[in-house]
Amino acid sequence: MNHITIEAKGLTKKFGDKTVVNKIDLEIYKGECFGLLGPNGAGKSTTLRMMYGISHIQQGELFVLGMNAKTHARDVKTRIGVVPQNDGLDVDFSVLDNLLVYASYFQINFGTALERARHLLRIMKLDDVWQSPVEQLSGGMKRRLTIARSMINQPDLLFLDEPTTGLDPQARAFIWDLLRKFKADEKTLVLTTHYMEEAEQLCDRIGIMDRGSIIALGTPAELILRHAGKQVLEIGLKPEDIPYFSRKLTQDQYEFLPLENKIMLFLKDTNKPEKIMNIIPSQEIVFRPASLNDVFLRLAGYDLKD
Amino acid sequence: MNSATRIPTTLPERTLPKWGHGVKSVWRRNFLHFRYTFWVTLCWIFIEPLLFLLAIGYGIGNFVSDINGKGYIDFYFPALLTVTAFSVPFFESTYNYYSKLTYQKTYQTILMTPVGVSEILWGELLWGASKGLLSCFAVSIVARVLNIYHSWLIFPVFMILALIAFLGAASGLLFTTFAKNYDFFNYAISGFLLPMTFFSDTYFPINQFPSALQIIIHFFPLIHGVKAVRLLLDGTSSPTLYLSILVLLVFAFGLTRWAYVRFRRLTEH
Ligand SMILES: Nc1ncnc2c1ncn2[C@@H]1O[C@H](COP(=O)(O)OP(=O)(O)OP(=O)(O)O)[C@@H](O)[C@H]1O
Ligand SMILES: [Mg+2]
Repeated sequence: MNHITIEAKGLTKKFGDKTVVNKIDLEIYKGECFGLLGPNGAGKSTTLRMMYGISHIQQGELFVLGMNAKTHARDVKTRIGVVPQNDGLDVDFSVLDNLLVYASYFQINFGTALERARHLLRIMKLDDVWQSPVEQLSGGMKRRLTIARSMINQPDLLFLDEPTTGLDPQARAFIWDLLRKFKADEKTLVLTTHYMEEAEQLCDRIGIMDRGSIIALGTPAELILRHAGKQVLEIGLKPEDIPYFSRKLTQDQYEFLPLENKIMLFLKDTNKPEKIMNIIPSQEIVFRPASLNDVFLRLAGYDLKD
Repeated sequence: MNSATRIPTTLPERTLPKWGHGVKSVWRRNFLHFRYTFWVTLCWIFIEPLLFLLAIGYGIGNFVSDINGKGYIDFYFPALLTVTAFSVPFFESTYNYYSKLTYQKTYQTILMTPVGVSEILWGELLWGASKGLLSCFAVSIVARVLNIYHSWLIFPVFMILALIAFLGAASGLLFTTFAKNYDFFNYAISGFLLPMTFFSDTYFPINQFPSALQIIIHFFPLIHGVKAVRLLLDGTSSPTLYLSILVLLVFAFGLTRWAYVRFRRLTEH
């Protein structure tokens, strides 16, 4: 059994009468990378914000690094790093000063802070722009600086809220690499993302959130097997034909998801693809292994929220 | 922020913000930023009092015979000190702190670190007060060069000015917690700060006003500061001096507490 780094029991958050996080039970283990996935407004950021101690915990229990997050938020904060959804860089300062000023909030002495900041800027490939005001940085540079900032206190646990949203593929791969190295050091990562590829690449375990609840939890492979099976048939259809074929598939107890101009059918071991082709005559059939994307669409992708 | 983001009442309401290591970090953040514009600011804080003393002290003062047996410039100088001490921090903790609270999200970022709301509040108030004192320092240098005062009592006066500067910062921050946009500060300045600086025994003695008005003015902090600074600079240690200082302390306590409670609601949710 692994060591538990974060333990939530019945964690709940309401804004007014809107329940944004609804009785979450969750354990995150030391040394793993845990990913929280879910549609916009699912409550991912709010959950993370409670964990990193800037959102008041209204109900439930939350222990982070063995400390009660309700009463020891300050002690928790000295040992974690945070990359919030919006960078929150200090626009009054240059790149290097952003790191130094942030370090001073942790009471890190100037010499140590400078040494660490230089090191982090080098790793993050920001050493050429150390003097630039932060507004002048590109989106990718800002994100890298925010990640550098989150590591200035050498945290044991890192929270990253959508670390690579809006970045180009190279920048994304760069950050993935970096986070893998961080994890290799026995450190724990908790991240949210909208990219299935990112989750598959980085995360040991994944929780899928929808409307404040965690509706699926497990390793990517487990989730795929459990919720999408091994293989998926994508059957291209005219939109007006979809209701008719949906009814037929329901009668035969197939698991499928009707989309705008296709039906996604999740094959069980017992299902024979040929039989389905008899039910639905379509020229456009794609047969492929199931992926995390299927799981996500199936569990949380039925309609557009917010 | 809507009412939904209010903290629930189960949180213990502290009377005054707690002190901690973080206060220094917050103060120093502002100081580091101030260094970027240090020389420009330094010029201004010397030029401004020079303009005021020349235009009002000597210019207008030229047409005034004397006030309570004093030359106009001697009447005006303590008021200039007090108004400077109050309004420089007031401006800092309105426009600047509002940006940090909203667009710049500076406080949100600080709250991700071990520094808490109390420390942010102390750090910001003390920073505002420091800026006020720096400006007062410039005023007193300019006035010394113009030979307006010659008394060593200027040093104890700075203790009172520190208190007034702190009050200016706290008042400004309180307004900030009510602000919905930058326009709000136009009202704060033309509805509160300017009238107060005009009628607090500053440019002319208030005993020429109807007594009702004189009473109303005493519900605002500035006049007590002006009184205390003027008395101390004159070298008079009357009960009025101590009473004024006491009133300033009460204001400082009340405003800090009020600003703190409101500030906490805006930053913690
Ligand atoms: N301070 C707040 N006051 C009121 N409602 C809020 C507040 N913060 C978040 N919410 C609401 O809570 C819900 C969940 O927000 P949250 O940011 O946690 O979602 P998310 O899963 O991170 O979404 P996204 O993927 O878009 O980042 C949203 O409907 C949002 O409007
Ligand atoms: Mg979010």
